[in-house]
Amino acid sequence: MNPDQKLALLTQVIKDAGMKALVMGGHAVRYYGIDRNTSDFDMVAGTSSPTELRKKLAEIPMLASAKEIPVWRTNDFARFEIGTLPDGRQELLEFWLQNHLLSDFATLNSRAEVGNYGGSLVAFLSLDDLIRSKETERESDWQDISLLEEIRDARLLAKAVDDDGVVRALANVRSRRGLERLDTSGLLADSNLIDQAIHQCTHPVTFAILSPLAPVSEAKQLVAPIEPTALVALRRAPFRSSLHLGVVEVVRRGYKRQAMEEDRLDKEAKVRDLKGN
Amino acid sequence: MNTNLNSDSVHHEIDALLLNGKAETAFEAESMFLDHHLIDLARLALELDEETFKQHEAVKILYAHGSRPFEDSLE
Repeated sequence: MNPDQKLALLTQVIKDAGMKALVMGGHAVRYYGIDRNTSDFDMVAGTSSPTELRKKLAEIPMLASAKEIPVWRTNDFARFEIGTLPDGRQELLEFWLQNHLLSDFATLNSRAEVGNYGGSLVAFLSLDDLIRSKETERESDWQDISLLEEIRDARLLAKAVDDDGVVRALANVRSRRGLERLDTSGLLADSNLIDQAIHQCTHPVTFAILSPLAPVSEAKQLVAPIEPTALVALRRAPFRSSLHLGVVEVVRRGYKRQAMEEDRLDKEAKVRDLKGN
Repeated sequence: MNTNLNSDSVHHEIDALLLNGKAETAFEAESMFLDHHLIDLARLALELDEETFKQHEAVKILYAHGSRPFEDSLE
């Protein structure tokens, strides 16, 4: 049984035990189209507590010999060793119950994507939620994000068959590849649609990508601010010039740096809570 | 020309991050450099012309760490 098939089997036995879970992490990244090796099985659990999670897992014969590995975020996360890999490393099944990058389970579940994986239908975090879940301190997660954003942009472009679809594709574009494909597809010609997209966009990178096309248009609300010097540069830069693309990358790094800092602060707050400070 | 970010001094600054142990890898040193100079990079886009901006060593590193262009993409 290969890892994909094992993941599919795990999700099935977990579902059969009456527990809700969505796949995240490396297998979700693979599902969305990035070819990479992964040995861990990462999920978001729909259980209300670690105790309930343990109780549910204990009812699953396939996981009867699973050994729980102590973790420091005991209310948020649980890790189980379920076997040994051919290279001798532990085979791990990990569950997040909550963290600052995940919405509540009901919301995640309502947005989940079910697709064929390992020969079965498996429920994954939506692509948007998966990208958000990876806005951590780890550089490797940001490498995944850059690839997942290209895939997200391509999916939205494929659905841009009417004005609403075009606005949605424009209002969410984040990758340089996505920008180039929108341009070569002729979808950046309608100033009214661009204005709508800028108004609707919430991500600072999207705003940075579109802004030179309509320098006076404002986004309704961005999830993170853009540094004033970068804003001025965006309003002056010719669209798709090196000056423009350079400032887009400045905004992208600014967003990444802020997200990494938020993740670090969240961990520090958790540690303080555990220490009772 | 922006005096905070001279093209000729970019690699000296990155090398220093490695030599003094603040960064363990070239990638990490470049990342630290970029994060430290984000506003300077935006200012370069205001002060330089297209060709000079493109040839600036800091901008080349910024692009190398950023979103991939068409020719390097997934397809």
